[in-house]
Amino acid sequence: MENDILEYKCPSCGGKLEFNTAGQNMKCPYCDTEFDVESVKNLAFESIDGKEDEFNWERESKNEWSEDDGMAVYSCKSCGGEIVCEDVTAATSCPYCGNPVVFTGNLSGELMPDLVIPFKLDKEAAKEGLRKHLMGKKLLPKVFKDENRINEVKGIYAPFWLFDADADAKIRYHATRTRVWSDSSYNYTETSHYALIREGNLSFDNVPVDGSRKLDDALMESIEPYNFAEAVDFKTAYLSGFLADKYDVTSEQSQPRANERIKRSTENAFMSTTLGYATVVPERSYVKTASGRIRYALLPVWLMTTEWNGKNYTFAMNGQTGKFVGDLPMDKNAFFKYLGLWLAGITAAAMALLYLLWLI
Amino acid sequence: MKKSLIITAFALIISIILPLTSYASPDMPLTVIDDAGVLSDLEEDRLTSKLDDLIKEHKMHFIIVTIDDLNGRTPYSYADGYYHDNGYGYGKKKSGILLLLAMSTRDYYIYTYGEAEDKFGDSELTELEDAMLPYFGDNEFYDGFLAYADACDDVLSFDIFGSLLIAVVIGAIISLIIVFSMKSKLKSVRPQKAASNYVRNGSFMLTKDLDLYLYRTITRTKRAENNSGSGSSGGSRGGGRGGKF
Repeated sequence: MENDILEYKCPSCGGKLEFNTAGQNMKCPYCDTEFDVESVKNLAFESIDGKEDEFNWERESKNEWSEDDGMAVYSCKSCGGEIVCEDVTAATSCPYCGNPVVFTGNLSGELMPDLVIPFKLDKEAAKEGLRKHLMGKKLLPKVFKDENRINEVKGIYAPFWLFDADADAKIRYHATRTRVWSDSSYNYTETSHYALIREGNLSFDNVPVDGSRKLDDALMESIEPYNFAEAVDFKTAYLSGFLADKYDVTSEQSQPRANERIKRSTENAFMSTTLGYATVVPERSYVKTASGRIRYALLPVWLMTTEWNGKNYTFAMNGQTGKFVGDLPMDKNAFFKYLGLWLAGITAAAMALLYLLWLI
Repeated sequence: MKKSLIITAFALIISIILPLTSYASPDMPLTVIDDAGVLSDLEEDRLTSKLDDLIKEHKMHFIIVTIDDLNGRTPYSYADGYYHDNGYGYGKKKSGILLLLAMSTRDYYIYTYGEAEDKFGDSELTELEDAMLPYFGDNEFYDGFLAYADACDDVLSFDIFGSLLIAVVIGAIISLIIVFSMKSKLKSVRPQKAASNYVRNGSFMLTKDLDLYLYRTITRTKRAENNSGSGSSGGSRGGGRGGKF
């Protein structure tokens, strides 16, 4: 004889289930819902309640710069930005604020990137990208378009942490199916409730997380994706003629963002296996990563900044794909002008239509 | 300049449509039949010309009939008979509205047929009654008929203010959608939600796939009483309604 000492919780209200001799099933004394015994057992067996996600990450290589590499660190006294470039570069200005930068030392002993995606698009492409970005935007203030307001177009190798992992996940969903029918005096709606359990795995390659405090995270995520098939092992030569930002967010500090995105993607992938129900609501998900690996990469970014009405506007272009982003200011007068024109036009058209309908 | 263009276009549309509305000038039927003699000759003439104008404008017949007695018939059957026996009705649909007043029993009946039956529903008939009955109650028949004719005209005329209100609401909703979509084009910086671009191709494998049936709930709601529209009952034609004044 099987003697169940396990406590089963009601999937509907959370109360403690009791065996119901009349129906030979499990019944909740609180909400009176009855359950199939096998379902309840399975549900308890597959429970992931209280399980915390586990993300395990390891830094792979730890190459360091040596003095022979001839790279120097410059920092900006005005905004605190730190950049890396060849130490033959006599003087340069800060790519973030335009102020002069000063030499603060060389890079020896610091972490060297593992990968780099070389610039594929040049400065002219970046300028063209901006021109196209400003096109067709009717609410953009005219002066913003007319004047050449861009201070300087700078190509920067931005520091990123790349996260690779195999993710194992288990997710429980609450799903329903409904059936409606009616007899002579009533309409009936039957809702069947299900617990869906999905377990599986998927792998991620090179989930990038911005490693620079000076570069806005949202801006950097907006120019994604990068195609990492074109990434190559890092060589100092790629930096020639460009600036590189030095990471100031550690790989440990970047992990939560990578975890968040991996978890979300995993949940999305699993959601596609829950078809055939009227509603599907995720109840609990548990994600665990294995063979998690973090690499340090430099990715190409074209940066442009401008100031308008006392506010700074930063534009970024993906130096590999040409994806161009940057929020733009709105001309309030233009907004109300277009609102007025459309309102008058559509109202007149609607009035004419109503009149035509009345004639018929 | 764009605004004036729109106004011009609108005016153009109206000017094309307007002439179409009053081209027809059919032979005028007899519109005021005052057998009970409640109107003076002058009043009768004025009322006739008013109803003739309405016929031209709204393309249906407007007839006012006063009689002394129904001779035992119901107001509906009298009005219906009068309308069809005398060949009233505009166009193919024989559209028209007939107001019958029987003096001895103080009965009135508004009889509608064809197009008029569609245009004068319950609420419109109430508008007519509200306009004319106070006068009839005071035996001011001429004023009552004028009020009735004006009310008919109101019901059938294009409701400019009501339509303008609807048009402005439509215009406001659509123009706001358009302008806000223009505004949204200015924003291009958005954080990524997931990492789907970096999922290794073909790496997704499901190792467990359990759908557990839990329980069901059934709710029932009483069906609405099935009173299919009362409408015209057996054998009658035309619409409208009547009462006492």
